[in-house]
Amino acid sequence: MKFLSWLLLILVSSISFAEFSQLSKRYLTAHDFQNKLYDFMFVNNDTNLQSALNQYCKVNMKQLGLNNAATSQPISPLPNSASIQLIQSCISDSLEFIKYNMQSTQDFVKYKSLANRLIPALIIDKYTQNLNNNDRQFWMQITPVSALTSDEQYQIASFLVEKSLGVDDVILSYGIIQDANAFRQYLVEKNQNKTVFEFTKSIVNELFLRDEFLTY
Amino acid sequence: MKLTLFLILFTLSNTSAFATALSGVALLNKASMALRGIQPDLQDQKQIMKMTSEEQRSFINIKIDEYLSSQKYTQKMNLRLIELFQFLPPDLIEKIPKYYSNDTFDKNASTQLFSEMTTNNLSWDKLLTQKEYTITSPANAYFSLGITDYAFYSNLISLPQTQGGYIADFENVPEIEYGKTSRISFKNDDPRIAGILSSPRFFNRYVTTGLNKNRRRAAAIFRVFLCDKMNASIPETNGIDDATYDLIYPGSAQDGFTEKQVIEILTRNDSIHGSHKDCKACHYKLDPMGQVFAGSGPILNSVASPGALVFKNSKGEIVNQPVNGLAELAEKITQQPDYVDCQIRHFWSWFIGDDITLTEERRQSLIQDFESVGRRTNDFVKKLILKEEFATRLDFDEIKMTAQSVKKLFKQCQTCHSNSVDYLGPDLTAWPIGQGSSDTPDYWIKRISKVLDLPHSGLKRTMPPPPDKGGFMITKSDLNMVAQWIALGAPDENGLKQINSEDKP
Repeated sequence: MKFLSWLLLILVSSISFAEFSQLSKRYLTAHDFQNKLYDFMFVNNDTNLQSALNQYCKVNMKQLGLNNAATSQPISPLPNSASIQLIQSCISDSLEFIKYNMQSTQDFVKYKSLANRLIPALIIDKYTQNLNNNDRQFWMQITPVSALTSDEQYQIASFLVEKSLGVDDVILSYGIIQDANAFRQYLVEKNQNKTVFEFTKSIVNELFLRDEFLTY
Repeated sequence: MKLTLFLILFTLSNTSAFATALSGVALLNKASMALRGIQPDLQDQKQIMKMTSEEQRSFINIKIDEYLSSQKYTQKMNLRLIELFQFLPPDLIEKIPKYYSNDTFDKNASTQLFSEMTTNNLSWDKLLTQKEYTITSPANAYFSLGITDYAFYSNLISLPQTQGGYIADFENVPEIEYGKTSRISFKNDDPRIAGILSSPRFFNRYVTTGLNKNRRRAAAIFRVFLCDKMNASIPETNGIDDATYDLIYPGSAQDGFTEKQVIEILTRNDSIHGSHKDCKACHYKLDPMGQVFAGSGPILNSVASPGALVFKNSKGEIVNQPVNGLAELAEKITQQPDYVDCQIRHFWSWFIGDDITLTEERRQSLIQDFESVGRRTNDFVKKLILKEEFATRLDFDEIKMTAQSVKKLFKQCQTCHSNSVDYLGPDLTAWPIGQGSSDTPDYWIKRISKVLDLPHSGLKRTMPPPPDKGGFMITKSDLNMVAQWIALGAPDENGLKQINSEDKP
């Protein structure tokens, strides 16, 4: 186990801070970040949900590297702690917003579409088909992730990795993650002892802070 | 095998050793991100991985065309142009999502022109030569903070609902449907009209004063279209009072000036400013260009004003071409090889990156590409996206990254030094440092360490001067980065040490 942890440390480097455009990698503009967030949350065509997300996730362009109007240079030369804080609170608030929506609706179809943003449909169906509407809404929040098989946990991690970072070839092309399977396994192992919702939230938080998400 | 073939097709023969060619799917991802700011559909990512290299090539071609015709690409290019022209009001920076996500943001003559560049695949020259505008009625012309599109152009042609160039009554104009757009066009030979230069946003962004005499507008044109940044050159005074400072900071030396006295000082010092050798380095080109805006305050003069395009081109030759107005100035600019070179560099910076060297060979081939597609925006972008440099990614390497960052920092230093007649040192961005001088890199790196006072974390540094003296803010982390770079032996972007790190200054 110790060896595995050590190996994962080697394979999975933490977010690498670089300049906003460096070594042929371009960092997302604040506008790109917003678009990717909408894309991830499936709200690209839903202006109501977009404006609701904007309420919860105030994208501060300065912290995300928008150029200074006077100099055309990035306001901050590096993504800094403020950038990280911003992204973390943005993701966290957006997911809490979705959770809140799940709690406030009695409509299973709507609930399912919201949960589908984070979990493959087959897994949701398997665990919720025998529940009443009320329990379905709270399933993600009250179910410990350990109730899912390790294969299902891995599937959720894969689902989120693919949705946010792309397919394995794209991920590996950055040269930061050397083994995509080990990376997914690392995400699963790191996020035990949580509810299904916290498990997914924590993984999304980590993925959105990686260079593979923030750069291209 | 599939991948290998693909890599061969897309790999640059002279790619540096630490660059990796992207696979088909990674290239598709990069193209989608660069053009639209979002990833390709997952379906497309999975589909391309099953294809042969030939199929991948044709698939990427189709997808690039699809991305180039998307609204997201137009928005992204629009934002790039807004940044290039520095049109974004600083106080609105934090509000972009709100303004960008609805129609308001797009609706002013300038941003409409930016959008048309991509939606209609216009020649890039149209930024300077376009004679048609889409204007928006006042309520939605948010970015026309001072003068609305309607008011601006009504000075030049007769528009309904206006009186003497201004909207008669904002509150009670039933004829105007707020937010309504109208198309206006001028004759092809109208000497007053020159694309973005004769747009209200350009005028509002680069305002003029009696003292400035439209030089700010001229400086913006030089910066955007000829890549001449022309940073303000503040002469060294060596402790002796210099009258130029009185001009630059009127009233700052002594408090209690009346407005009239300030105007007197400014008028008196204008001649000093104009004759100072540091100032003349820019004014010989700014002043004649500024003249084409003569009589144009917040609104374009209804009569064309003559001026001249004067500058020293990249071959060291003086270009001096009289023009009868803004339109002819714009026309002449588009005929300059330096203009083509500059625009190519903008595209290079947007799609390939400043950190990737634009070799002379590549520069020449891009000029050919630019001309071969009739300078059309999207066609040229596509050419660029299909270049090998786009299809490679440099490997992650901390030492090389540090070298890149240091060079970028030195670029800021060099911008100022290259405009200063007093600076006799080498180009700080040409490595090994010291090229063209008789001293070694070791000597120059010691000099850099000294002026930045790296041994004392920059406590008594003499460079760069603060922003109010024409310099820029250097942060502690910048200084630490340079110190770390020197400690590593001042490696270049290929990781080759320029000095022996054991002999660090």
